[in-house]
Amino acid sequence: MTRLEKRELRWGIFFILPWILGFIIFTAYPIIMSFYYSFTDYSIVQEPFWIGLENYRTLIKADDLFWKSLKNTFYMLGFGLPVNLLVGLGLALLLNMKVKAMAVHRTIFYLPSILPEVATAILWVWLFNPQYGLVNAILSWFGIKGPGWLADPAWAKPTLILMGLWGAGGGMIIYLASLQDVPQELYEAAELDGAAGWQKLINVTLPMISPVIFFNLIMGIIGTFQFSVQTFVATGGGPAYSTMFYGLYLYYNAFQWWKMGYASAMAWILFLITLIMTLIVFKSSARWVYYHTGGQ
Amino acid sequence: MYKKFLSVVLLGVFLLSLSSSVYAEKVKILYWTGWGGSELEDLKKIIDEGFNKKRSDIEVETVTIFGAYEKLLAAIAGGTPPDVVSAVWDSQLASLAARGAIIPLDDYIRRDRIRSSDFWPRLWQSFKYEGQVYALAATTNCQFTAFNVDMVQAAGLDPKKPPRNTKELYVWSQKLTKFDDKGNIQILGYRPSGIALWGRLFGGPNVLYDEKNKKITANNPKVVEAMEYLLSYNKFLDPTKYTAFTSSLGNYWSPENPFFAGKIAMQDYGEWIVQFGLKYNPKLKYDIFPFVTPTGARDYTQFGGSMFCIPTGSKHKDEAWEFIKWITSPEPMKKIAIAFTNMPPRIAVAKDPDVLKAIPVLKLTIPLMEKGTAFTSVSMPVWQQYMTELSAAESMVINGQKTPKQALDDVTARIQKELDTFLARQEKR
Repeated sequence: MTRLEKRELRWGIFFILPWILGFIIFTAYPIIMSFYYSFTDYSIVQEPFWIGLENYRTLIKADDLFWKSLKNTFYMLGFGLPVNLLVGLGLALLLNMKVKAMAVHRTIFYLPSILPEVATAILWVWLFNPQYGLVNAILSWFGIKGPGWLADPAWAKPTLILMGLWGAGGGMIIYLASLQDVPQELYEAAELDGAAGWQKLINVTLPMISPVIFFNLIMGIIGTFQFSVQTFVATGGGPAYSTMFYGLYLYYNAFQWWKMGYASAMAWILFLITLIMTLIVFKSSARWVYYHTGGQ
Repeated sequence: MYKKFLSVVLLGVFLLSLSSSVYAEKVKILYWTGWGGSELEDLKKIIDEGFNKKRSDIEVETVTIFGAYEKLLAAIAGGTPPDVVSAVWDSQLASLAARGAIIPLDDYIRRDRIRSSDFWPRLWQSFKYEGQVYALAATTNCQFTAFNVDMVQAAGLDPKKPPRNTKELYVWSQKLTKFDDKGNIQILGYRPSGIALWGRLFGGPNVLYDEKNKKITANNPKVVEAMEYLLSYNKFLDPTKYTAFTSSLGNYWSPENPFFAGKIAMQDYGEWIVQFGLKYNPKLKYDIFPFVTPTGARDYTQFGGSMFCIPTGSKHKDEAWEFIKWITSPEPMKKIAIAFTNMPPRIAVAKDPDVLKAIPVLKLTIPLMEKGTAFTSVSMPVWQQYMTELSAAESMVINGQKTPKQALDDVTARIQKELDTFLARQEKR
């Protein structure tokens, strides 16, 4: 390294120091400590007490609610996430057409995703109220008797999925950016070969935006595993634990029942599951994600 | 000359030290309260006038953590708890005491000769965990069932003869419930809920926990019977319709309060109903009756409230105690009782004519506290989780996912395991 490089390095480090310190103190340290706590019985108000693998053993072998919450979360992953991704993509495709006042339309569809989660959750609870809610009122115009939505254990999860679509604009905006990046000449070439709308979508658009689908999928997986705010507000995990998701159960253990050690163990199991899921998706990505910039 | 100068200096130093001891700075203590809104304003006024102005040595700074009660846990964990706190419910006291987060007050109580016999005996019991006193209270609440007199009359029932047992309660509820033409609930008569309460109304105050043997007894046949009773309301109150109705109700602490807005004909309340009535709907005529039981015993009540305690990490424990001693003494207690319309924890204050006049419902609740079967949170370290499990079990039973017996067996097994683990680890520490 030359003297100049050394000096630049020093200044560089100096300028990113606030971030590095913040990261070490507020992110890295808690993460490391949570790993330690996961092997202890830690009630927050008392010193942690080493119990080895006991938390992990109890979770896996003896906690039905742990498995139930995991099952509920995988339900959201299996049904909620694909629906959310598809709707986001669909919206993006529609908003990529050349019609009047497109900027306004895009803004309108994006807006919901930046509203505070808690406020919108409360709003949706009202809309889905089986007796007074707007949703069932509209259904009744068509002679459909609406279900109990959040009040019914069988309907609570699908209702939360529907509520989640309200935020599909977040994914949409990313799709939209990449849709505009698809080179026009590819469409022209496809048209010369006689491709119609649907074929262009399958053979040009989707491969070209696959990196973004991939990105949204990964973020969606992580987000689904952390899913808790809406349920905390809307249902509190009920009725009958039908919306007790992993993130919510973790919160209850940590902050309501004072089992921070147990909750830390849950967090690390969650990390492992998320990691494995992400790795699987990454591995599969070689087959379906196409980077047109030449890289892999 | 030099000597004279020295003596003047010395005299000056002496005078200075004297004055500094006279004008010693007040010790500031931090008090976290759980009260908010107008109650907080009243409380602050009572503390300022009765304590801060009169005490030359201590000044209390009152801060509310209303609606953000987890802050206490975070503050304790961070080693910076308040000096004194009352944002601790009876349901949390045992949990905090068992984990060493608050200190026992026995030495102070002995030293200052606070007499337990001045307080309601059952309430005093609830200050204790494993034989030691961890808190005192400035307020408490005795609960009962209230009904809307006009609605009862309109339904052809006699408001002079309120339900005496669980069967009559069922009949009243059925007659008072009104549906629209689609079968939706318009006015709810009454739906008993809370198996922690009803289990004890059916089986007595100790039915949920065998304290001596440290055994969870949620599946006691009496509790199962109580759960079956709660379930029996499904016959006319479809659970989905019921949830739809309750989730549409207005805020409890507002003029939209469902009882005072005429959406619910009968509801459980405590002495605060007096204050609610004055604030939200002075025209509504209501009357009250004690909780019913299957046997017709009518002397049951549930009570609770916030507890004044001193966190282990408090930096001014003695001053904190001085404050607790003052706020639980007769004079401020009386003021708070009248302002909040609560049951005063001291027997003599509760029977004070001014208090009785301001809180007429005490006529029913004082005898309940005095001679009745009054119960509160069970003093055990995993009570909060026990309650969560009980209400989840109730929800599963009402929604037809488990039978009462099965649901309660599951709770018993789960919480027993929690308790055993906790006790075993506490021993090893």
